[in-house]
Amino acid sequence: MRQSVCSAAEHGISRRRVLGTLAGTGAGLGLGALGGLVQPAVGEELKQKERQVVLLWLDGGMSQLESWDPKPNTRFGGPFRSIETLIPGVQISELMPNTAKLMDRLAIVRTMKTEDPNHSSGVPKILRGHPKNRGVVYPYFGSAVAKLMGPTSSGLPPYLWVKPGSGGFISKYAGFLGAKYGALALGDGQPPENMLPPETLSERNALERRDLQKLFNQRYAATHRREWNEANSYVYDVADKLMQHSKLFDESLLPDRDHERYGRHDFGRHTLLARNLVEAGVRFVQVTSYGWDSHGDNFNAHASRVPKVDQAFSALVSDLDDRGMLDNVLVVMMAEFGRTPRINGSVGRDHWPNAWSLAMAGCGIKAGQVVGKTLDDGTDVATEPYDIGHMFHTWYQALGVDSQKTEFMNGTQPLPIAHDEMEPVAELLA
Amino acid sequence: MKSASRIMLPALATLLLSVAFSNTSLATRNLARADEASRPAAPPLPEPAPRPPLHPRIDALIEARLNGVTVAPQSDDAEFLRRVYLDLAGRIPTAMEAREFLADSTPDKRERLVDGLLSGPEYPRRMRELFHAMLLERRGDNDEWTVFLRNAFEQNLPWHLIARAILKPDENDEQLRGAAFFMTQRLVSEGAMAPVDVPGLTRDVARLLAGIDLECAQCHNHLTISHYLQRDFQGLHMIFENVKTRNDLKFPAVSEGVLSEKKEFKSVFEQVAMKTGPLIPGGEEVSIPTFEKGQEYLVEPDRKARMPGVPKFSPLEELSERLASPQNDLFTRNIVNRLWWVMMGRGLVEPLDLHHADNPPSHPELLDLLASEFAASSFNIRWLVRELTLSKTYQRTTRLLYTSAAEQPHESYAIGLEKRLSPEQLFWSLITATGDLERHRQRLAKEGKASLNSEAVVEQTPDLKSLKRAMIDTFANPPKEPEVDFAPSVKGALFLMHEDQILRLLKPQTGNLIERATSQSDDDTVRELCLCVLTREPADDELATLTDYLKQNADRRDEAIANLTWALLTSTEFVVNH
Amino acid sequence: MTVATPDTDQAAVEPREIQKIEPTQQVCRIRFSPDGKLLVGGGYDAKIHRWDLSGEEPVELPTITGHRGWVQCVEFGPQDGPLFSADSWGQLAARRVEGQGNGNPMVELLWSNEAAHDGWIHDVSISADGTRIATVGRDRFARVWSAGDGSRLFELPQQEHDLSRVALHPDGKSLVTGNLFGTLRHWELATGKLIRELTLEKLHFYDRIQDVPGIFVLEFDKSGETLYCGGGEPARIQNHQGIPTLHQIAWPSFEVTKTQHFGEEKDGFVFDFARHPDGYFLLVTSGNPGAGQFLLAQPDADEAFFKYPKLSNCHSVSLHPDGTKAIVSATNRNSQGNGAVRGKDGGYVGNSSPLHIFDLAAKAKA
Repeated sequence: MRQSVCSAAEHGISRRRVLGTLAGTGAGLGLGALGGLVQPAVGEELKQKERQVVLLWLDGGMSQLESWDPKPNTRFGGPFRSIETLIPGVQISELMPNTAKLMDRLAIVRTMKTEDPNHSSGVPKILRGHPKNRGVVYPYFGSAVAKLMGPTSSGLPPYLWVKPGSGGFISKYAGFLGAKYGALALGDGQPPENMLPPETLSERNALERRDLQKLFNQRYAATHRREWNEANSYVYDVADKLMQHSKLFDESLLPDRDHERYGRHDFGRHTLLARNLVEAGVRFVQVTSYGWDSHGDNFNAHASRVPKVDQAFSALVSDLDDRGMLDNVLVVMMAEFGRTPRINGSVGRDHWPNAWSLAMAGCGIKAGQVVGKTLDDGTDVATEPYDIGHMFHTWYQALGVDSQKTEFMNGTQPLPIAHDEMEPVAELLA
Repeated sequence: MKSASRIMLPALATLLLSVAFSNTSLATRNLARADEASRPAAPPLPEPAPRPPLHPRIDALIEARLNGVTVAPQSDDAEFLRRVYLDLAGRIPTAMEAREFLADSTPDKRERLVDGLLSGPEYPRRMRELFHAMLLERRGDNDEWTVFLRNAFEQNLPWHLIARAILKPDENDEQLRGAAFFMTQRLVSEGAMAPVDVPGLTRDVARLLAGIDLECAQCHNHLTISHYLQRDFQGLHMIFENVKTRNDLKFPAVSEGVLSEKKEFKSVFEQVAMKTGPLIPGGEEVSIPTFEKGQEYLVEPDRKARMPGVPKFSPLEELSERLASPQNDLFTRNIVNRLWWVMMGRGLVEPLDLHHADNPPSHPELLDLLASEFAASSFNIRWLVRELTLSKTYQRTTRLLYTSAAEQPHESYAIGLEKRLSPEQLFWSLITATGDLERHRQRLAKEGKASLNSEAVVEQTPDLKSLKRAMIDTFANPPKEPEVDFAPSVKGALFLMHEDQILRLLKPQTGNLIERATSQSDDDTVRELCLCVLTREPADDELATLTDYLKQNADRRDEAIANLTWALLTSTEFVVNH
Repeated sequence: MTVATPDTDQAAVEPREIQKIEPTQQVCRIRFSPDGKLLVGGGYDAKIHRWDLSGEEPVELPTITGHRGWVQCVEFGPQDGPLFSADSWGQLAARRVEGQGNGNPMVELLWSNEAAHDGWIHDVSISADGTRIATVGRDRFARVWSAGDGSRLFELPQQEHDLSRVALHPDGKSLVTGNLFGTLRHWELATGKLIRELTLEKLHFYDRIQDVPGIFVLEFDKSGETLYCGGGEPARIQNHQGIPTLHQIAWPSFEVTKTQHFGEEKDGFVFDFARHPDGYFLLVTSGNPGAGQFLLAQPDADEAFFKYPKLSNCHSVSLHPDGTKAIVSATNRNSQGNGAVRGKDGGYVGNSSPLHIFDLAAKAKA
């Protein structure tokens, strides 16, 4: 969408009471409240509740050798050089010059060792933190955080997913938590269909409709199980919130400088939107870049892709830092696995869960360090391997959720939020 | 929602042992059947002999597990009326139908209403829409498939014959051949990187027709369900690996190849080779007959005509006969549990596709009773639906009037349970409430097209046809996701808030609800809107509040009425079947 | 498009695979020495691999070290010119190398420039008289060097996109660059002026933030009348699919006069190309998992007249100076695979580039 999207609902924050006579009926004409989901919070609790996440997901698997764990001038090292970072002794690929200058704000884990070398099963496993099989479908990270932490005080939907292609509400990511905790996907960063009210619907009529609807809903909820009305009301409240923030979706309102810094490609645009979404108060934003499965032409592919990621990732981290938000926003960049050291006949690299890397920043993650070491030729881990379960524990801990004590309830069945035989990585927590 | 917490019982094996097995020689049986296949389809079956009422026994078994808890009272007439219309006609009642029923004071009016709806023209449509969503899971639609479902429910075809038409589609039966779409639509390639999902078809047959989800058993015995074995999956899977979509016919159809050997498979854990022949869920392994080379076919393939040939041994035939059989407990329990879920809002076994010994039904005696009675009724769906509808369990209120009932877990059925409206129910209810269905019916009648059924009205009214498509797109789950839970979406909310096709319904048009409402007094307007949309009278305080709203906005009455109507149509009370 | 006419010569060549060399490493490019006695290959392992071909059996000689990244380019100067090599870390070097001779293979470093480019040198082109070398790289520069001492003679202003390939015109006055976006530019060396530009749009593809280059080959014929620009029309990222393509561009008009497609999307890209003195082309292709062919085609034909599909992912072809033999670098079978592939000894297994030697003898007359 290129046109300006200023909508009636933006002005709705200062809602008038349109149904004067309702004052005495107890039908509080909610000022955009989100049912029972938002509790007023103070002090430390507020700070913890305002912690947020940006997950940058490089679908298909970025090569660790062309990014976080280069092995220049070795048999499997590929053509690229490594460069010094701000932290003495820590080198990353020459394809990430901007990120190298931010190394003091990052932590790299180089000994990820996971189980699944397939996309179709590997993606969900990593995004679910691969907990032990208990015969239930676990939620994706974003859904889990949405459930555990709820929306921030902004009231914006807690789990937004910026992705190329089409959007929609992806309920299946919520697993057993129930559809409500799914991801609201913004296809190509565009707002959901029908977000803007048509011109024929005046602001006054729109407000009256919603107030009358609440009146009926409260009457129904008073004599029925609450969940049904909560679920139905919730989606309208989310719709309202999105409409209030409709300027977020108008790229033309952003300074040119931002576009240049993040890049005018999809990943840059989507990461820039993610920055604005966390700034507006979305709890968890996932940005996905597709097409990393470089079975062929791996090196031209990474030469083309990694610098774009370097650009957007470094812009995001430095912006969050400049705004003083990095203390409370966890940024994670990863994929379902890395890529094989051996280079195949199509000059590509294949799927490699055996020894790959990921990076994180912010939210109390101890920065400026590399955790773990791989063999000199990159063909295995050389120090303690970490599973995605260890990372989930670490990230929950950073978000202020005690991952070893907190449990989900699936009906009457308590379920650990992260793999119960794993624990947080102490080195990563400041 | 799948839960491992309810895992507790003995084995599928006990079920397997109880199944009768035919000793007839396979080869000769198939020869005989192939002759029959060329004959025209049999005329519809006569209604089976009436059975003694089942509903009092249902209520007794539900109450037996309540341990003296006071159950919620029966629904009042308005609540019952709305629910039974939604369940049996797929829409809410019109104001006229509501007035008539509410004014009726005869004691058997509920039973008469149920019988009227079950024999009415909308019941087969409602069942078709229900089974379409359940069996296809929004993978797409097809005219031949619609013809199949229409015939099945207009003729009240017994469930086992519906299942057999799906499992062994007969391309010579014009009425039912579209059933092949169940398989062909699952055998469509989704592009070079996604091979045809035959395992998905295997899994769906087991899930939807036998109530067991063998997904994890594809590669190894199920980790947490000790009764789902890899052999169960592989034995069923080999039947579908042998199936191909026919491309020599213009309608959905499948063919089978020659199956002459057992299938070898390995567990990804143990890597020990095992073998199985075709295996029927809830049944036994089918022995594979041997034929001399060159003697495998009844009808030899014809490459020129792209005709794939008809082998003498048809594993699909074996599957359809032995799965869709009164002796197959998995088959029978699956369907009665699904129909129970449709009517009561919760399966006796939940999730619907996890029937196994460690996941017992909430009311085992009741599931047994329903299964045996349903089989004894010759799988008469209409009869079972009628019995369920007439039960007190079905007719209980969903209102939380008595805490003791409300505090009971859902599986007690001490109180009525709310149900999700399907996209189709939502569509038909919406245009019933706004009067657009009736308005266009009358318009078409004036144009000389008298007494059209509702579907024909929609079909011949571009606005309604397009609205129906848009609503199914908006409110249906994504393909392959069963529509089980209530899952309202932001997309749906924005659709109802801003979509022009919805907002248009709120403008006065000759014969629609808004037009009628604008010409009445404030009191009558509110009453009319409540009755048309919510099938009930407004409460006193509600009436006062709303008439006051209209009074205050007398200078913009049309807008106020549109606002009120929108709020009613999007209220939780409207979008839920309660 | 011209229609191929049956050509009696066309079927007259029928290559036979006569020998195979099994290196343990992967190579980017292979070249015969001008006397045909030596074969060199630039490796992924930063080494230049050598084989003496003067005897019955190829003899592997010690590798030449000194490079650091991939040795992307190895080219000999004309006559008995030196070996120029360029790597992915920006180093360009010239060496005099000879074969076994008296049993002591000779290597003499003439000069080396570690910072000829900042990073990956994608291509080198040697002038017809052997006095100059042109290079292009990922740093978006094109440069010309003195073959004699390695001094820089010429540099184009930094371009807006990666430069994939370069060709010096035989007249010594012009330079052509080919970039990531399929654009060919004709530069005048004397002035550095851009003279002409031609964009072959299909030799580039963009999908999901990835630019895929399609130019793998850029060469003039001896006369300088025709420029050959080849590679592939990329169609898919991930598995790197494309249609192997070769364009012939008339130098006077700078227009495409003939386009040849050697297969379908799965067949991939023309990775390397040579011209036989008899007029036909030798091409190698590498495509979607394991696909690869050695092809012979007449310049005016729409189809190759010889296809050798038994190889896997061919990356380079070199023609023996006497025209009787060609050598093709391919890849071992089953080079693809997810996860850790372990050898018999439990070690991690890499891939290699088997070298297939073909006899280009005429077909026996029936």
